[in-house]
Amino acid sequence: MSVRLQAIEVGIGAFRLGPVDVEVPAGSVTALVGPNGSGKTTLLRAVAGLQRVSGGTVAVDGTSVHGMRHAERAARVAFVAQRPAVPAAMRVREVVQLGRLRLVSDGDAVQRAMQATGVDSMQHAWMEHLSEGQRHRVAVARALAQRNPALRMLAVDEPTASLDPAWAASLARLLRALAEEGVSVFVATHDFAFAAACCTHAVLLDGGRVVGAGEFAAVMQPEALAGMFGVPFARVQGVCQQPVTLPVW
Amino acid sequence: MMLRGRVGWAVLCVALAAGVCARLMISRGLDGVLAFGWSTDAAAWRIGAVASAVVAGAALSLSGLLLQGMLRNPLASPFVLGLSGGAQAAVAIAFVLSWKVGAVLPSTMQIPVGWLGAVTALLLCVAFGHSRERGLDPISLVLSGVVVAAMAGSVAALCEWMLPPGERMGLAAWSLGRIPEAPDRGPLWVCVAMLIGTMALFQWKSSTLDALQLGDDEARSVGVHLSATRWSIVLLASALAAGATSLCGPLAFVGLVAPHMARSMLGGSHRRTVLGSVIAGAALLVLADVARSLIPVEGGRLPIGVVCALAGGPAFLLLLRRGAAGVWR
Repeated sequence: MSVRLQAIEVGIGAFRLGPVDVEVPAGSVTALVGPNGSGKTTLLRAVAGLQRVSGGTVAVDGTSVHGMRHAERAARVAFVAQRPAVPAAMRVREVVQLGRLRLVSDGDAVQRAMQATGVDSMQHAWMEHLSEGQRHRVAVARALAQRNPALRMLAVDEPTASLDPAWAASLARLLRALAEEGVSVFVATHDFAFAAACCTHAVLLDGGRVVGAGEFAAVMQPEALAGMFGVPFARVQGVCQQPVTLPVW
Repeated sequence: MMLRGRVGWAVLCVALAAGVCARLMISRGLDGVLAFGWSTDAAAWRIGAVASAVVAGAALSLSGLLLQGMLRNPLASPFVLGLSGGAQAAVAIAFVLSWKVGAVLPSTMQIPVGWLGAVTALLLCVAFGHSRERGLDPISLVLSGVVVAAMAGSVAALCEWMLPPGERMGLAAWSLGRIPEAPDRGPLWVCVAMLIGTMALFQWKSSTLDALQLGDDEARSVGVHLSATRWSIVLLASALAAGATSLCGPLAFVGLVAPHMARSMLGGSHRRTVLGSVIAGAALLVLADVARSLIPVEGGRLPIGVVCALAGGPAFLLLLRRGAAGVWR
């Protein structure tokens, strides 16, 4: 039970990603870290089967995500975009229910997803009346509504960009809990404190190439990040269970 | 203000019923004289006009709803994106070619010919309104539509010009928009069949239309087959626009305003707005036909296309202003 990225290559215009060879065990939370334009979102989309790859495969329990039928992929892989679109004139609950589009209708799963992200109290609110952060929580709830025994992967792009610290901490706990159920979670993020709070593994990307991959604490070395971002980094203890590598201002 | 819910359904149904009743009680003859009250002699004509307006209005509105949903663009409509113009140009070309070979274009052929024109216009519009950096930008798409519609209108005008004056009048009157009081039954029934079929399909697939609103990646992640859904919308929305255009000529803004009316009264879920848009479009065009009948003009009857453009134009500008203020994204 693992997610294996084997020689993944993507070409978008002049940008080239890969080849990416990474394997993460089931139940891991993997941070994709790198400067702007390094290919984090492209790799995340490729992992979720949403980005056409020019080479390689992403195998979930031995099955390629790009070869899955739409319904099968919806059951096994969930995805949250960095800036989810705002459906016009739709209520929060209607949006979260879309997570069950190709799955057996399950009101309890929808309710649990809304409770986990704290949007159950606003389930009858119109989407256009919510703040950016609240909309993002709705998007996460929609992905959580896809929870089912076959779900193997969740890919989330910049989840904390519009969340306050309390909801970011809550999301970190949520992702860890999901991983404990055997779901492999991939998170593209610049929020290193959030990543340290929930991630077990990390992949460092620079200019479309993997410059480091493995267990989180081993990969997130200040020297490696300083070389990638061009600013000094230092390790800070006491923020969460594992040390946090942060830029020095 | 949002009326969403039962009140919204009631408002839409009452508007349609009031429009149908009013249109059955009034008519303005070719001589320009307005007649009030029920008339057994004029009943068949009035029923024909109501049937044409209901079917064309509903078809344009459903077409607009599908386009707005597919493109996530509140300004999308068959008229704005050039579908009506494309259908008009294609029918006008076929009309001229038929005349050149000494034949008359059968009314049943107008819909398939118009459909080809509408699909071509929509694909051109999407091709030029799309950029690698910004995807389908709403304003670029509308601007492409304006250009495509203008070019299609010019082609239609050229076709009219190529006909001798005696042959030109019918095509010119249709190009201005008119609700036929004695519609050809073949095209009318084809339109009804397309309308019911498309409505049933997308009522069944209403959650898929909702999921399109999440954005491409998230829609695919919940299991939407994006290309199949988009192609079915392109083909069916174009067919509806072509059907309405062949029946009543190119009518502006019905397909833009009616879906927004339905959405504001019933909410955005397509489980409600598919049927709601059909009712709203039918009501809007029947009421526009009533308004047309009531407005006196020298020398006969006001073309319905003029009423639609005059009433729908400000609605379009209002939507544009709301968009500029960031109300929709």
